[in-house]
This record gives sequence, structure tokens and C-alpha cells, in this order.
Amino acid sequence: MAVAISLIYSLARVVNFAVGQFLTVTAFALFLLTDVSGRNPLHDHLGWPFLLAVPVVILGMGVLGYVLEAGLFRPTLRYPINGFVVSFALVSIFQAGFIQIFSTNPYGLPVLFPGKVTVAGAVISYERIVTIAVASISIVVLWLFLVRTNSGRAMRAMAESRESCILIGLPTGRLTSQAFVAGAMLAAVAGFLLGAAFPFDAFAGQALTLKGFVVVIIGGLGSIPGAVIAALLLGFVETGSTALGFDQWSAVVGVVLMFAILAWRPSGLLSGIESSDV
Amino acid sequence: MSPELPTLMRRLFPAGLVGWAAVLLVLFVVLWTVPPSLGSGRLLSLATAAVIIAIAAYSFDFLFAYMGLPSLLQGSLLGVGAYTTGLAITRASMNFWVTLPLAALFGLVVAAAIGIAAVRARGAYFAILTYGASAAIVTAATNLTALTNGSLGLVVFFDAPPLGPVHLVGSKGTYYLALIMLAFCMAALLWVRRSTFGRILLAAKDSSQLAASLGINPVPYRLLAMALAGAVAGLAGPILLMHQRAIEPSQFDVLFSFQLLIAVLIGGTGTVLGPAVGTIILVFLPEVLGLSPLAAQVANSVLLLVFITTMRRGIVGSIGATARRLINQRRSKGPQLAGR
Repeated sequence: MAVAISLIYSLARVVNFAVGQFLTVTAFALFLLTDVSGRNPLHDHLGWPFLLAVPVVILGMGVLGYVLEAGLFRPTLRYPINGFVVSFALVSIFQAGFIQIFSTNPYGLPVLFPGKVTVAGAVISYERIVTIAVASISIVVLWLFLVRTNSGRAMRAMAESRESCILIGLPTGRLTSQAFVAGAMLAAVAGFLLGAAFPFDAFAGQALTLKGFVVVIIGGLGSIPGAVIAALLLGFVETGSTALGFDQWSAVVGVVLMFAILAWRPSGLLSGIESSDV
Repeated sequence: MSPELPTLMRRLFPAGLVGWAAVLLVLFVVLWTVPPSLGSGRLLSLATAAVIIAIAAYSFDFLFAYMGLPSLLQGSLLGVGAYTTGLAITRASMNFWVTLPLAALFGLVVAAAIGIAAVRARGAYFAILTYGASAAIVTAATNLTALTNGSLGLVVFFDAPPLGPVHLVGSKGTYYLALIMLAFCMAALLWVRRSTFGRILLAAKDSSQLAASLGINPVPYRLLAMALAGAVAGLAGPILLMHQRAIEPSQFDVLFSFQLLIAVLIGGTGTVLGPAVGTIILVFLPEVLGLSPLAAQVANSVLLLVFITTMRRGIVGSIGATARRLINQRRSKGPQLAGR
């Protein structure tokens, strides 16, 4: 899942702190649409089936991604540092909104795929299998899109040098929009998986954002294989630290890992793009 | 507070520093006399908070405007300073005045330790690294319950003992101390900016390649600047503790640092008065509009979005640029450097 989060950064090129909030928005939106337990603070009983709600929310997030890109991020494109400021403002706004609507209680999505299977002595729920499958498929689809299609190639070129792309006549503005929409929809998929797997609350986005960035920096910005490796690495280290009884320290563990890797390899494990001057 | 005044003074005092000293002196006298005369109620409390936050905002802008380093760490460094004093007083019964340099020192050390790894990155990458470091500090303060009392925070009741003839009493005393600290920190940062050191920093920001070709490696300078800004942020901590009496880890999280960023960008980054103007707006606007803390959080962020898309220089920066343009037109000189 952290993999899915991190891919967005490599794609959109704008360092978007708000992606963690996109995930939380998705999880809350799904909760609002499908909840049948009566805890819905806005509406009593929408009770949409999941098969309807998930695509609607994913499309909705795509629209939201487009609106935010066109309205807020595009004017700041010439000053990349402001992109991160804009995204941080969004984080702050979203979080305040969540607290207002949902208070600070934890919420959860119902179990969609009950049952479990025993593989070589380890008990794995179907839910987990579906999660891993959807995450893997999303990554593969994205990878194919970036490597095999013209838009994907153009986006990667744009990540290297926006100016050259303008020179050879690529529609950079439209490509940036596309990247944002794709990123937001990917975040929606990740948000769905996350909401199904873990409880979430109004502060979930902040922790997710941090985790996503740790992964991206460790893996090397702009490198998708690097992000996958880094996410697995972070997962192992965090699980290890939890097993050793340091579960409250997981944020610190990730950050320490990030600094350690950076001291060793300043541009990440698999440096995609030079990470110094942006 | 008339923001045209600085530009006017700059025309009157080409030497710059003299003019600024005069402006700031006038401002200081106004701030020294007016808020305490309004009684020691909510207004004074807000004014004190604004002055303390302004100190941290200047430490943020010092790194941001002069090195392009958006540090999301400064708020947590203020927390480090506040906890240093709080623990030194409650655990070691130290004199408040002794803890002040201690708080600055801890802010400096923590900033330098993080800076060693972080200053090689710039821009948004630096922001991510300091974001992570800030989260690590807050997590540590929350989980080291034996030392910090965890998420319950510290409640410290103390009076600053008399220091020679100076004896600070009550909320007015806190306000005066905060104001003196702000003046001290502003003077120090202004002085550093005007020094050779500051000019090297600026050169290294605008063209790191050129700086490198002149044999200047910007990295140690950035580290030094980060340590200095850390000390300034740390110094604001004890005064916040004195003002609030109670502190807890989560108030120093990354959103607090983001408040500093909002203040700086609204007021105008790289200007002498900008961070203070921004902080005043940030602190008093929700009060004037009667907003709840959550609504204030949204309002501040929306305000930031408006400024960043339409008025990138901030209030003071825009007024300064307009004034300079008018003066240039009248004198029909060539265009001057825009004010950063």
C-alpha cells in the first residue's frame, strides 16, 4: 500500500503532501456512502453497495485531483517550492474538515471478503490476499502505462526535463493534469485498500504522508522499483520494531531509516532523478 | 504600523542598517507601551503569543528566504526549548534565567544534528526531511514518558526570579520578556544577514554553482545557519512555557511549523517586517472574526492559498515592491532588483 502512495510522487513531480489526505478522504467517503451501522454523521442510511461506491469514489477523486491541479497547483508551477506549500495548506484544511465532521473517533470499513485460508501454517485472510492483489495489479498497470504508452513516456520525460518537453512540443500542461488525475485515482485505490484493512481517523492522513515520503526518499525520487523496494524495506523494519516492542516508535524508525539511507546514498537506493536542487 | 515606513526610511538612510534600526526602535517603543496599557486580559495574552510566534517565524524565514530551506522543524525546536526549561525547572530546580541559554543550546544542538544530514538536500526535499525529523521529535517527546510525562505534557508554575533590578511579574512581565527576546533575535538575525557570512549565504542560495566556483562550499554555511536558527527557535520556547504554563508534545508538531510558514508567506518572505506582520494577522484575525480553532486553521490555510496564488511577495513585500516601482518611475532610473 505504501508502494501505491509513493508512486504518485514519482508521477506527479510536484511534492504533494496532500496525498495522504486523499487516501483518508477516500476512506471517509466510502464510509459515508456504504455505512449501514448508523454511525454516519452526515446522513442516516445511504447504504450503497460497495461495487457501486468504490468506482464512484475513485472517479470522484480523479475529478478532485483535476480541480486541485487546475485551480491551485498550476499557478504555482513556476515556483516549485510553492507547490509543496499549497499541498500543505490542503493537508491542514482537510484535517480540520475531518475533525469537524467525524470528530477524532476511529472508523472502519466493513470486511468485504470474509474467510481465511491456511498456507503452510500461516493464516491469511481473503481480505489481505485481495489487498495485495489489487495493490500489485495497480503497480503493474501503472508501470506498463509509464513504460509502454506515449503519455507515460512523455510523463517520464517531463520528470527529467520540463523545458525540453516544451521545446519538442509536448503538451506539458495537459500531461501534468493527467498525472495529477492518475495520482489522485491511484490514491483512491490505496485509500480503499487501507480503509478496508485498518481503522482510520481524522489524523490518519498525516502519518500516511510521512510514511509515503520516507518510502519515496529511501527509494530514490522518481524511481518506481526503488519505491517498491523501499516500501518492503520499511514494512520489514517497522514490523521488526513492533515485534521488539517499539510499536509506538514506528514514525521514528522510518525517519531514522530515511536519514541513515540518505547518509549512505544521498539520492536514495535507486536514484531515479537527481534529488538535490528542486 | 505603517509598512510604507520601511521603504521611506531606506530612502532616507541609504546605509540601510541605520534606517532599520530607527524604524525598529520606533516600533519597539510602540509595542512596548501600547499592548500592556490595554490591561492584562485576553488581548495582552494574544499579543504575547504573537510576539513569541514571531520569534520562531523569523527563525523560519532566516532559513527560507536566505537559503531556500523551508524547515518544518522550527516549531518542534521551539518545543525542544520549552521542554528544556520546563524539565530543568521541575526536575533540577534550576533558575529560569540559567535555562534560557540552555534552551538555545539544545535548540542549536538538535538543529545541527538534524542539519548534518538534511542540509545537503534543498527545497521540498529539505522540507520532507525536516518534516520527518519534526515527527520524530514529537514522537520521542510523547513516548519518553519517564522524562517528559508523555502526552499529558508538563505543567510548570514558576516565577522568573529577579535579575538585578529587573523583576518580571505576571502576564505583563512575560510580554516584556517576549518583546525583548524578539528584538534581540531580530537584531541578531539582521546583523548576520548583513555580515559577510550572510552575503555568502545569499550567494550560495541564488547560484550555488557560482558560489562553488569561487571556492565556497555552501553546505557548512547552511549547517551553521540552521544551527543559528535552531538556537533562536529554542530561545522562544521558555517564553512560551512562561506564557502558557502548560505544554504538551502535540502542540509542537509539523502543523505548528506550518503556521510559521503561513505567517512568513502572508507577511512577505525575506522582508524585515514581513514575518511580524504575518504573525499578527495569523494570531489576531481568528480572534477578530470570532472563529473556532478548527475554523481558524481552515481560514489561515485558505488565506495562504490566496496569497500564494495572487500575491507571492506577501503584504510587506508587495507594498515594498510597489513603492520601489513608484520611486523608480519618478526618478526614471533603470529597474532595480526586486526586493528579496
